[in-house]
Amino acid sequence: MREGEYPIKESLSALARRLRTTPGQMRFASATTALMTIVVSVAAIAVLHTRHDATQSLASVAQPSLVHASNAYANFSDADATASIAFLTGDLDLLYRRDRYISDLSKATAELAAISQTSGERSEIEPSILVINQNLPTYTGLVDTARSNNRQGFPVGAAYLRQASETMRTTILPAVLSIYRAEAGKLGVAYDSGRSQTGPLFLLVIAAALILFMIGVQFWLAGRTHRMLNLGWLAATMVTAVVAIAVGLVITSNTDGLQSARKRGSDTTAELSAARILALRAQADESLALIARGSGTSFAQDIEEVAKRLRNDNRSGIAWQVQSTLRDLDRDAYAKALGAELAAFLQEHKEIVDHENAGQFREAIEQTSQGEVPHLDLAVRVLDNEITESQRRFTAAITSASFDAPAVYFGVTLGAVLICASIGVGIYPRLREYR
Amino acid sequence: MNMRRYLLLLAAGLVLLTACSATKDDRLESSVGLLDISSAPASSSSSTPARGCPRDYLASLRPEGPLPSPTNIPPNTFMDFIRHRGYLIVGVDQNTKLLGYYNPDTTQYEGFDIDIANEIAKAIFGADWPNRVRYRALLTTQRIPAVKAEKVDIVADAFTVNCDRTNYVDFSNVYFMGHQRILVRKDSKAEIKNQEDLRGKPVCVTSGGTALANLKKKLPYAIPDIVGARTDCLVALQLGKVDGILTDDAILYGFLAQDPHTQLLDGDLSDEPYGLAIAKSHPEFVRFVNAVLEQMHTDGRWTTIWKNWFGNVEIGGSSAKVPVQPRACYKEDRCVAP
Repeated sequence: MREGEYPIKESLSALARRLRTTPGQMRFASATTALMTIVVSVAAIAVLHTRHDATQSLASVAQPSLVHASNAYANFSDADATASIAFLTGDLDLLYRRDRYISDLSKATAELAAISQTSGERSEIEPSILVINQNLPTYTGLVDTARSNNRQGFPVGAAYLRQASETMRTTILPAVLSIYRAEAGKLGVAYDSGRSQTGPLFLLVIAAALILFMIGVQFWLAGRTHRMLNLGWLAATMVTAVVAIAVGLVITSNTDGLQSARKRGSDTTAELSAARILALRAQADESLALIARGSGTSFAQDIEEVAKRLRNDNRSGIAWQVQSTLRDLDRDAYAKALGAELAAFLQEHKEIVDHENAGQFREAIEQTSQGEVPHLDLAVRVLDNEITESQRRFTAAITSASFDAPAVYFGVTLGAVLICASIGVGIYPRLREYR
Repeated sequence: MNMRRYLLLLAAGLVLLTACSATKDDRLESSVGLLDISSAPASSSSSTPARGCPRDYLASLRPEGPLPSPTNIPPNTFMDFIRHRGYLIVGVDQNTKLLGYYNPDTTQYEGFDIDIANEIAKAIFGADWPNRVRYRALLTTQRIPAVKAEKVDIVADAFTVNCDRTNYVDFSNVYFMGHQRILVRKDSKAEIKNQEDLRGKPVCVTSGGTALANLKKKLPYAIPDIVGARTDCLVALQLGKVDGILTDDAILYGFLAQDPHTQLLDGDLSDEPYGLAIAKSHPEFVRFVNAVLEQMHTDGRWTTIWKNWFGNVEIGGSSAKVPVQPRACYKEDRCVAP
């Protein structure tokens, strides 16, 4: 065993001896530079890869899923509200209403199918999908029973419709909402990993260290070899700088793109979706409170809570936030329209409640079904339109954040090869002088 | 020297990068958070334990002389106030066919209770009465609070006069004598032929009514299934969630009319004397309403109204007979509950 230790000690001391000589030091400096180049390149590719992945998954999975979930909620809600309003005004058989109810339901299921298709491994939303699939037939069955009872003038129809809505609101919509929440959570995680600055910072530090080391070596070489410049090393340093700047630019543009995609796209979509979900909920509450005909207290309580969150006259209301966001995006006209429609709805709601409390049920119904397009419908239309717009902004921003990953990886690798070759070419003649 | 400059540059770069990454806002999360709404269930007011019950709790207040004509209503009375306000507010149910419900086809309120309430409006407003009634929908549990808070002037909604309720509101004379019975599906005839067959079976009752107490007393072996609105019981029966409904016969007649595949079980479980409920602060209105009811009994209007709603109801193959009209019973006469 003693013999075994001896050669190691020997080779270590041989190395130490060599390092005391100038050519040994040159070799050591070159090898270190090459090693650092490889480390920096691998780190750069790793950072770029993370970014690329995050950007891709945002563009093709996270954001579309969020919008699909939001649309599914909107469609289910609208189906319920449509059935309720038609019921309330006694025209459930008017083709327009019935068509809208049917098309709402098929659109909603299509949106859910789109979420399931977007990615295979989504076990966390599967229970919710199951809940929806189990309860949807119950819901439509209850609506149809309500409809046939109502056609015969049987008041039990109202009770069926209330049960249908109860099914929609206590099982289907919460399940859609939990899918929406899961997708929003994933979106947040994707942005966080995409925007993380730890990797780029580390990259900056080691790239700067590499460049400093190379410059240091050149000063040292100049002193030892009495030549002002070593062209090979100078070229290597410049290539390093160029590659570093190029990678920096790619990362910066990616960061900017993601930031803008989030701010102008996803966050805005989420806000608009939340406003749309609340608006639709208020709409359903309104008609259900009237359908319940006296047993609508819980809906009336719910609508007050929803209205509070929907308000546009204080900072905590989503409409206030949406309006300020839209103004920031230079969409003042739409912000104004949205505010006006919501305010009109809340005013109308107050009048309906007043009518109902004064025992003027007929007037309350007339108020509800007044005009072809209720204010809330108009507000929802503005929101639909703005969701499409923010979706467009998201796509534009995420496109600017995307980069051609294979080309960039190739560039970095090529850079590394060039750097190593240049330092080799630069140091070889100097080494020969010591032969 | 050179080194120091590089370090400075490096530091500047670092600061710049961290500044870029520091703008983290959570509009995404906050907007998602806004969607958590746990709606509180409608609170139901449970009645306080019964106090001592006077033996004459069914007796009402005697009218002061004959019924005044609408133009002759004594000043400074509640009727006068209603007349000047321009409308009568009646607490009703909007879902009980034959008793009180909103007909979407005619956009009118219809039913026995509605007609009785309309007679009161007629006595106050005369020929102009149809535009002067406002119906306010009330849940069974909301009736006493609404009368006490004077949100409604009068409740006409299959409202059983019982001892406990007279502690909170005044009642008119009994204008209808109902009886609680049980409705079952026809297909369940094989299993459920009588009340005894409901042993261990779910039976639907409406919260806030007298049915729950009756079920516990008379059919303690059945399992109560309590719902908020009367028609929810019919839904539960049709969907097979319960095997029977226990409530007043007048309400069950309305259910029978909506579902021919149901039938009544034999046997009354209780008497349900219906009265019109009025706030305790308006005894003159109670007397006035009693005068209207007496007039309706003497001139045959009561029978006409009854026949109009219940004349065609078929029970066991024969149509229902006009019941004995409830006899007027006043405290002043020391009338005692039967």
